[in-house]
Amino acid sequence: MLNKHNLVRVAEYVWEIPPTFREDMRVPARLYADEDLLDAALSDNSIVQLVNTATLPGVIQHAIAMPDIHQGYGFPIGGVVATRLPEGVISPGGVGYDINCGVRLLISGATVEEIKPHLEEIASSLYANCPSGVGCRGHLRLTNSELVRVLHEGSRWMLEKGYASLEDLDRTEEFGRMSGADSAFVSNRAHERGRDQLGTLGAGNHFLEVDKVAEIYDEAIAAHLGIYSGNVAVQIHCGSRGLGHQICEDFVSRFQETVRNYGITLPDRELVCAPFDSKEGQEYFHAMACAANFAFANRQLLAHMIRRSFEEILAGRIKGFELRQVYDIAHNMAKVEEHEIDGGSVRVCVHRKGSTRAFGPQSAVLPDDLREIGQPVLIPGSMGTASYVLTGTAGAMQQTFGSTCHGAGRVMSRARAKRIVRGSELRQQLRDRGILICAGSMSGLAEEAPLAYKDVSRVVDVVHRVGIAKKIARLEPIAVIKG
Amino acid sequence: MRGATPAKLLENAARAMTSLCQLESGKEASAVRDFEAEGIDRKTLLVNWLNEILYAEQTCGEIYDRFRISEASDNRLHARLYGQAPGTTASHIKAATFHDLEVRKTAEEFEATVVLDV
Repeated sequence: MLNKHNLVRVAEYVWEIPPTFREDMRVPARLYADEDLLDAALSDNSIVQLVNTATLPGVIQHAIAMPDIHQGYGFPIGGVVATRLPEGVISPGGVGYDINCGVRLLISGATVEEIKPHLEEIASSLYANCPSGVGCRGHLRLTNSELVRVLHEGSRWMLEKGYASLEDLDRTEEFGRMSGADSAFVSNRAHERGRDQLGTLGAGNHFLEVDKVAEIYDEAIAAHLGIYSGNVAVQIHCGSRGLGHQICEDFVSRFQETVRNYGITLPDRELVCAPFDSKEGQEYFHAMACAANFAFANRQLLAHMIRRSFEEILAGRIKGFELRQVYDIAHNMAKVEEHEIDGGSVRVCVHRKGSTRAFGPQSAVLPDDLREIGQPVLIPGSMGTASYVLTGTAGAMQQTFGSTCHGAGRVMSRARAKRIVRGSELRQQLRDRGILICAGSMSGLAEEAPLAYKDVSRVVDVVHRVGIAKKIARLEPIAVIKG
Repeated sequence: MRGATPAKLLENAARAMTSLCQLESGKEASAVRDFEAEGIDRKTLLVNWLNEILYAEQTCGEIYDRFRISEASDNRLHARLYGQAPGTTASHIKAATFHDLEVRKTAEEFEATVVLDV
């Protein structure tokens, strides 16, 4: 059993489990947390899972956990694991089932006061235009060749079809297209599950949210991103739907044999992996990139439908309501990156599962207009609580392979939340606080009750204080749309 | 889940999982499907079998509640599924996982633990 005594405090908010803790550990495990968040992390199995990830072949420097860490399947959610290439491994479980689950933020020039009289209409239109719920189908029916193009081109295909602008692509991680995608390695089943799901939210913790900009922490950077106090913003949180899920499932099953063939011994079968440069490792990477592109395209189409809703309801009524994209980030992904380690540049495969890329200023992969300020980082809170806009930092590049947290982090299982919360009562409570809720399932709503999550403000304060992201603005919800 | 034989364990695992999704009462079984599942060992076969069922439910819009395994080894099975179509209730289960997966033989029977992604 692992407890606080097994952790060494190496800085005010940094805790370490040395590799002597377990003989199969190849590197130390590090957790970023304050005392309360550490207690929360120790309340489930997530720290043991973090230690398990420190055993992966090729793992380098530290296995890292963010302050929003919680228990996942195999890998913890809120973890970062980098493996040195070419000998290091890639693991589908280190990315997660919802490949390229992520967040997109749109900002309007209109204020909350201007939009509030029309909010019910906007929420109803969003609910109608953005299908949600388990197995929901989108408005687009893709042919086989169109789906293949989405898998290879992501948001670029959406640009060609008129669902995106060049500015949208510039303000999307990987510019909306992950390189390395090859649909030859995506199963027929994954194709089938994805064919009619483009432009859909899904269920679980996925949502659309209309927010107000409640507080600005850095006026210059916020202004650079077009974010002003009192303005309206819209967040989209979703991923690659059934297609990404099927790809993960296919490779986790297939890699059960792969690890045997490569003589890899693991403490948990969900950690299965393959050497990155092996045939199997490359095939997973090609398929994962397809799912990543599907997710970018999915959020792009949702953004298009949201803009249509705003246009339908607000055109002729108020001015300046148009929605511009602040950024789109992935928080479930594996990427090949170069990082400075011990004075040298090292090529690594960075797994971020429930963790956000947070590249600092001057990063060459950022578009010109963001290079001065660093990459925007979008951290959604739990339903009814705040969300945050941050930017990446040099500190993240030095400490965490350019990574930071991804959200509030669950502290209560879905089943327990459903037992103690009534969805209809929660909806009323939120309405009383001025937050409009449109949800297809009351039990689904109960699962996402704020009490099931950690305090996102606390999580964000930790990453800000340790310098692995910088607080820019706080958002508060005025309407939530869920499956 | 428990079963007197590996085949019964697989049947009972499927029943346990699909019991989480309610069928319309009094409706006749209108969907019958035959299929196979494979795995490199007993554990992988169990997870793959459950995921086969979920995939069929999600893509065919059917919900199954009876399972007859005609043939099962440690790494392959043949089965017939009975259920209702089209399903009015979508399954909220996304997948069976390998997380904390257990399959063991006790003195009298076989036992398994599977964590479902919901």
